Amino acid sequence: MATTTQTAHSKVVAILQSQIGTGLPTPLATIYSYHNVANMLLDAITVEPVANMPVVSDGGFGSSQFIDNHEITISVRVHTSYTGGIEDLVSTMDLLDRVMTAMKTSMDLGDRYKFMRFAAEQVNVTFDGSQSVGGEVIIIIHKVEGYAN
Amino acid sequence: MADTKETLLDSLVTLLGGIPSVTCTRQLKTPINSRAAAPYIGVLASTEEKLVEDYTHVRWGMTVDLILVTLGSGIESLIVDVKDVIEGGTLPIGALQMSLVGQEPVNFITDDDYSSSRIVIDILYVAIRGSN
Repeated sequence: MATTTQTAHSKVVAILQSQIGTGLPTPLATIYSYHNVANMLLDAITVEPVANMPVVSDGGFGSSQFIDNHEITISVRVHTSYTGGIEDLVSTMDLLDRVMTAMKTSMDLGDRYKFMRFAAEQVNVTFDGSQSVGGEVIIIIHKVEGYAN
Repeated sequence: MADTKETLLDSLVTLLGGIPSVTCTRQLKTPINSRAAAPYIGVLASTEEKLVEDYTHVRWGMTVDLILVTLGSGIESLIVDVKDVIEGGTLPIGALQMSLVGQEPVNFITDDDYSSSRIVIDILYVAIRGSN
């Protein structure tokens, strides 16, 4: 059975699949499920889980504690050039915008997985591991498990 | 299975050999023979670096020297033709990116009226792990 991390990861990948072929001025070629892809086609999106933390929220007086049992942090990177190539800031911004729009229009990921917020966004980043240049946005997802009592 | 690097370099030779009247070879000709074949381009792979490795593939960065020899001042137009191929041409099989990284000053008109230059290019290419 897939772990919460794996499930959240695959749900984000599935949502972003709809963006393949879109993007200006160059279309998104493909999506990879890990960052450091040797045979990377451009433009690409890579999705990789970063962390999975247990979270307990206080529901307030008279109500039960609400357990968001997992807060899953997922890194989404857009890659628009290889290191040493021409940096394409327009494509980077466009793809990041598409990623964020796709996530915001899919708040409910199903199976009690909820997209909560973006934690950070940065552009014009050189990714040493994948020898590429682009941008990154961090996505926070909660898996709502239920009530403590 | 064909070696990706060798296939790529052979493709590059074909690509550069497509410049009108140019002779292009993988193994650098001797000075006398390269002048006899002018306009001539010798393709020399100099260094390689493993850039990214995953479960299935390796992305390599390879530096290639192109030795250009022509008769007289024809070297300038040959340099332009080579740059056009590198920057605007179809990528050889296996290559993800070709980019010009350097050019040595032209060695103009030697005693026998031949000129030469060296152009350095970087090629990113992908090979299946273990095949280079």
